[in-house]
Amino acid sequence: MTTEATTEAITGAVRVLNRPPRHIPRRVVLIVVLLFFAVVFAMPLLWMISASLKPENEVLQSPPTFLPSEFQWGNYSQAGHGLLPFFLNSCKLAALNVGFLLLFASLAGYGFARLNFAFKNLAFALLLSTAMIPGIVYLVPQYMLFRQMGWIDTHYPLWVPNVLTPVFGTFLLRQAFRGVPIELEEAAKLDGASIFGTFWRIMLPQVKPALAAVGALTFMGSWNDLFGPLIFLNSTRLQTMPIALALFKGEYFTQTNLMMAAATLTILPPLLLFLLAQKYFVQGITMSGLKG
Amino acid sequence: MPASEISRRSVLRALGIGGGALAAGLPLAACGSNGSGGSGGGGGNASWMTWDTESGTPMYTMAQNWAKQAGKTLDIQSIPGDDYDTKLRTVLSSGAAPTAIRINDDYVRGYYAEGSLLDLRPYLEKDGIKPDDYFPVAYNFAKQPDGAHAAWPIMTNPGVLYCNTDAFAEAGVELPPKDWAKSGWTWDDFVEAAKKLTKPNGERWGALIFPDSSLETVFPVSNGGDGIYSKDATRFTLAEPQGTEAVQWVADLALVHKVHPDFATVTAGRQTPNWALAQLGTGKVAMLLGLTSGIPYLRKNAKVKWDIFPTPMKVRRTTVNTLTVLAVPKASKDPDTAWSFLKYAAGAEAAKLLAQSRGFMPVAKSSSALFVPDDKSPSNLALVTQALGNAVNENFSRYIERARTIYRPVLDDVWSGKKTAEAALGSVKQKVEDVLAGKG
Repeated sequence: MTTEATTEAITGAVRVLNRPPRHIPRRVVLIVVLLFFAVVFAMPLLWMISASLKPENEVLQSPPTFLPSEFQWGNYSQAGHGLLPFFLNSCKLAALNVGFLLLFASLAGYGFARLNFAFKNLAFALLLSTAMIPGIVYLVPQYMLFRQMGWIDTHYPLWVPNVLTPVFGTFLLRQAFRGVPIELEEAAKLDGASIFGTFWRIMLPQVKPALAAVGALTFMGSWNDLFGPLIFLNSTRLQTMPIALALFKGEYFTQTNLMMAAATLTILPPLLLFLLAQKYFVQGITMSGLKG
Repeated sequence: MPASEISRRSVLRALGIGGGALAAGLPLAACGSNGSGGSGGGGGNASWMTWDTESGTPMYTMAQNWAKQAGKTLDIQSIPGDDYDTKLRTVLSSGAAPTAIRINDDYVRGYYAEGSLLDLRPYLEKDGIKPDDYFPVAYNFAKQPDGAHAAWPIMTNPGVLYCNTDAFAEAGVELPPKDWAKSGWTWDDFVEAAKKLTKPNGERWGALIFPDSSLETVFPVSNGGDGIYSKDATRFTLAEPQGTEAVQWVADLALVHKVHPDFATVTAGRQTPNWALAQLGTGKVAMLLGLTSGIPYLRKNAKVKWDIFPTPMKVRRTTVNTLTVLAVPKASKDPDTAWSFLKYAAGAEAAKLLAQSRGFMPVAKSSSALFVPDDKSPSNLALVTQALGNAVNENFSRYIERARTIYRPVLDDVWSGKKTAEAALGSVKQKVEDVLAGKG
C-alpha cells in the first residue's frame, strides 16, 4: 500500500468514525481492526525498544515478556559509548548528499522539464538508463577508479557520485516542474526574469513538497547506506551508523540488548525527520505523479 | 543572503566557485582522507582485514600487541561479518590487497584455487615450524591438493554437546560420560535421554540440532561416512547411505520421536541472534549440539546449570571443527610482515589472550593447559582438547558455495517430512557432483 493509499484509508476510517450513533457497531469493529493493525505494524519497533531495556538473558526468554524485570537504562549508555563518531559521520554524509543532490537534481529537473535543447529526450532517456545498471556490475572498476583517485578510505565515494548523478531526484523534480502552470513562467519572463531567475524565484518555491520528498528519500538512502561505507571505507573512525550497528553482530553470538539500544538510537533522526516532513513527503510524491 | 537579492550573476559566481572547488576537492577537505587510500589499507605500514575484531576484543588486543613488539603500525580493518566476502573479493580483484587477511575456513580452498592466497610453505620451512606442536585438525586444514599451505589457523572451535544439567537432574536422567573415549552414549542412548527430558506442549525439548554444516558433518562421519563430501571432494557423500541415514535420524528426532522442535521453528530461529544458545540457557532445551564458541555466551547469560559432553556415537565418536583462519594475499605488498603477524597469532603469547574467553582453543597443543575450569560452567573444559583430538574438518571443495545452493533447499523437504533423506538428497546427487567436478 502506498503512502497516499494509506492516507486515503485513514481519511475514510475517520469519516466512518464521525458518523451518527446508529453506526456504533461498525465503528467499534473498525476501531478494533485499526488497533489490531496498529499493534501488528508497531510490534517490531516495540520489541526493539523492549529488548533494548532488558538484560541479555531476558531478550529471548520463553514465554516472552514485554517489560523487563528491571529496566537496564545502562544499555543505552553502553551502546551509545563510542557511537558518536559514527553518528557524526552519518550526519555529515546525509547533509552533503541532501544539500548537493537537491541543488543538482533541481537544476537538471528544471532543464529537462522546461528548457528546449537538442537531444533533450535522448539525454533524459540516457540518464534514466544509467539507473538500470546494477551497481554490483561496476563495483570493481569503480573501486579501482576511486583507488587511483586516492578516494578509498575517504568519504568522497559516499556522496560525490550520488550528487553528480541524481537520477531519481531529477526524474521526480522534472515531473514536479512539469506540473507547475506554464503561465507562471511566462509572467516571470514578461517581468524580465532570466532563466535562472525564473527557476530560482518562481519555479523552485512551487515544488517545495517535491524537494522535501527528494530530500527525505536522499536522507534515508544516505542514512541507511551500508554497502558504500562497507566497500569504500577501511578506517573505523570514518564509518557510519549502519556499519556501527552491523559491528554489534558477532560471528558466533550477539549482545542483542545492546544492538537493539543502538538501533533505537539510530532510528531517531529519520523518525524525527519523517514526523516533521510527512506532509511534504506525501504531497511531493503526489504532485510528481508517482502516487499509486 | 535573502532569495530576493540573488541575481543570476551572483548565483552563477557562487556555483562557479562551488563547482571549481568541487573539482579541486576543496570542500572535501573535511572528508576524512587519511591519504592512504591507494594502499588498500588505512594509514599504517601493515593492514589486516578481518571481522568481529573491534577495540577491546582479545583478537584486537593480540593484533596490537604484535604491532608493538614488531615495531609496526597495524591498521585493523574490521568489516561486519555478513558482508566480509563482498569486501574481500572487491579489494583482491582491485589489486588493493591488505597485508594480511582473515578468511572464512569454508572458502580457503576456493580462494587458493583462484590464485588469491600465498603458499606459506617457504615460511614454515624457514622458521622450522613443527607440525607436531599443533592440533592436527588445525595444522592439516590448510594443506591443498598441490601440497601448498594456503592459510594459517590460529584458533579452533570444535563441536560439543551442551547439556542443561538441571534438566537431567530433574528428569532423573544420567548425564553423558565426561570422557570422550568412554564406550556407550550412542545415538540410541541420546534418543532415550531426549525422550525422558522432553516435557509436553513444547515446555522443554530434549534436543536441539541446528541444520547447518556441523550437523551435515558430525552425524554422517559418526555413522562411518566421509561427511558432506568425500575426502577428495569429488563425491557428494551426504547422499550416500551413511549420510542419508544420519540426516534421516536427525530429522526423525522431530518427526518421529517428537523430542526436538520442528525444523521450521529452528530455521526461523536462525534469523534471531543467539536463538539456539538462548534455548539452552533459558531451559527450553536440554541438549544442544553446538560449537565451543557458544561457551562465552552461556557463561554470561545462562539461567540454568550446564556443562559440555561428548557427541553421541554410532560407528565412532567424532565431531566437527571450524577454525579462525588467517592468510596472506598473493598480492600482499609485505608478505614477510604478514607472516610475522600470522606466526605471532598462533604463538604462545597470543594463545594466553585468545584462550581467555574459553570459547576458542588456540591451535598449539600447549594451549590445553590454558583451558582450566574456574567457578563458572563448564566444569568439563578438558573435553575441548579431547574433542579436538576426535574432530574432523569438512572436506572442502572450491565449489562449496555453489554446491550448498543446490542441496540445502532439498534438505528442507527432509526436515518437514515431505521426503525421505534418501529421496531428497538422491535427487540432487548427480547435480552436486557435477558442480564439484567444475561442470556446474
